Amino acid sequence: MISRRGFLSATAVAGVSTAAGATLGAVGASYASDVASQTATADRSELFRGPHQAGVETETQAVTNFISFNLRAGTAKADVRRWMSLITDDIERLSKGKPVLADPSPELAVGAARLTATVGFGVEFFNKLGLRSRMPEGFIELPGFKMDRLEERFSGGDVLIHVSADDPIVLANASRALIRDSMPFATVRWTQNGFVHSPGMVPGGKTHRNLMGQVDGTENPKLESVDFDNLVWIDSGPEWIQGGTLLVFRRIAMQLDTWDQLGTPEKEEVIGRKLSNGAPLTGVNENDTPDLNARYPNGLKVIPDFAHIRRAAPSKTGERIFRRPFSYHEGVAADGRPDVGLLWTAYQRNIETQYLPIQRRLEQLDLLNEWTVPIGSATFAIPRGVREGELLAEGLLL
Amino acid sequence: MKKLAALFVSLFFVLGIAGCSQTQLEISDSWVRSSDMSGEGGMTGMFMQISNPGAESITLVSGSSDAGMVEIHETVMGDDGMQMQEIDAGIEIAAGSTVILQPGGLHVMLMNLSEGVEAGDEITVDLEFDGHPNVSVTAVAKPSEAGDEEYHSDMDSME
Repeated sequence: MISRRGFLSATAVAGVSTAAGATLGAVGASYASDVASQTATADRSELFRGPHQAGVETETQAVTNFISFNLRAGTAKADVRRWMSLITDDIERLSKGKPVLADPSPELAVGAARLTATVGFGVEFFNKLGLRSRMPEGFIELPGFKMDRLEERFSGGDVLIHVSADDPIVLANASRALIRDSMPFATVRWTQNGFVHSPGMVPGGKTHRNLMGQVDGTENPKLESVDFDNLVWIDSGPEWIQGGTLLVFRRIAMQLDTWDQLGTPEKEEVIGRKLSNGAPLTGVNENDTPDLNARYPNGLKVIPDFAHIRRAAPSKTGERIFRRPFSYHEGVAADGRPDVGLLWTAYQRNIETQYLPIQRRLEQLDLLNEWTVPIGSATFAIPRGVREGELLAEGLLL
Repeated sequence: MKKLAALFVSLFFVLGIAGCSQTQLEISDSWVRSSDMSGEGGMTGMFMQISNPGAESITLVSGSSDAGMVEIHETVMGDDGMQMQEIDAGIEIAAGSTVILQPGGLHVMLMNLSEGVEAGDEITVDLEFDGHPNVSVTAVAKPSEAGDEEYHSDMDSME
């Protein structure tokens, strides 16, 4: 009898799965035809001209390419002006999904895919061109930190062109065009490629996960908020930077093999947040305010002293930044260890008063430092946006 | 050479002369090549799209510029591969059509350059047409190697 009941129930299950299979087949077919007709990614575009450069207060695109340049010997301010005239036109066309002028591969202009290209200048740029007096307040090269293991090949640069898009072909073609038009004036110092989720993976405005699994960026100011304006967009100093911002770029390697030796509760204590939804260990939802004073009945702090979010929390008003990190994955070693990490960015009005104090606290104590190693570093001043009839950074290069 | 106007003009419409019922020739996406070839005394090509929305055919016959000597050229397959040569008859833009001047094809040739053409420079050429008033075209210099084989082979044989 027992074996017969088994047979019957197995049959019943088979019947159910046949029905389910039929249903899934129909859904699958409709999904396929739906996907086949979709060009939503190609059609979405970001506005190039405006008070700010695009690519900062912009929902993070799927793929990115940070391109750092060294000025060629003898490149002067007037030459940089001609360079900016070329790439102003390039970016404007690429943002609309059009080929650049003189594009040798116009057939690759297959859609805008929310392409942005954001231009910035390093401290050495100002030194080389005699523009030191026009540097924004609080714009510095970073001091060394004790957890740094910086490599030259990932660090520094006179000029940054940060290109992002929702499609890797669009990104590659745009990067190629911008590099081509830069070659008379500069050489490529380094490029660093990164990614987040594909379009359609997470709803707009939702915080992305990094490759450690963490929901990364919860404390960010919301896009298009007064809070964002006050933290990110510069509103004083030289005219060319009013509406601009300052970028701290860090390449941060993740030691995923040792990270994965931890259990979930330990991983959560390192950060101070739950892995499931990013909620603080003292809360339920991602955006709940962490209670840094909460203790367990045994007296231990719920968010430990070494936890990342405790150390990164502002010690005073305005000591915050806007993070827009991308992941990188550059392959796997023979022993299986992946070369992965973050192309971590912080945007702010003033590096000295916003990024630096946070970083000093993380340098003193942050258990996360055990698994994250800064291996690249650079800072760039991002000029304000380009109005109709203007060139990028025109006010600086007059 | 005129260095960079603040305004980057990439598309402009050229109005027919007053009193003419004819055509407005449209010239867009004009550029010149900056390359190893475009130093002082050297040469470069000028490229653009020319649209003729009118009912009569128009022919680009010649041009002039402070930047150098202007000829209207085509690229053809010769015994030694692709070669450039002057087109005596000019370039016809038939009624209602668009002609693309591009590397490896039809182009406006600038020779014996009065000054080196560097990336981002702007060059102005006065184009002369049959069936349309002259048109002054300002083109930005783009670094480009496209269709450059014949220039290089010419230069090599000259050395």
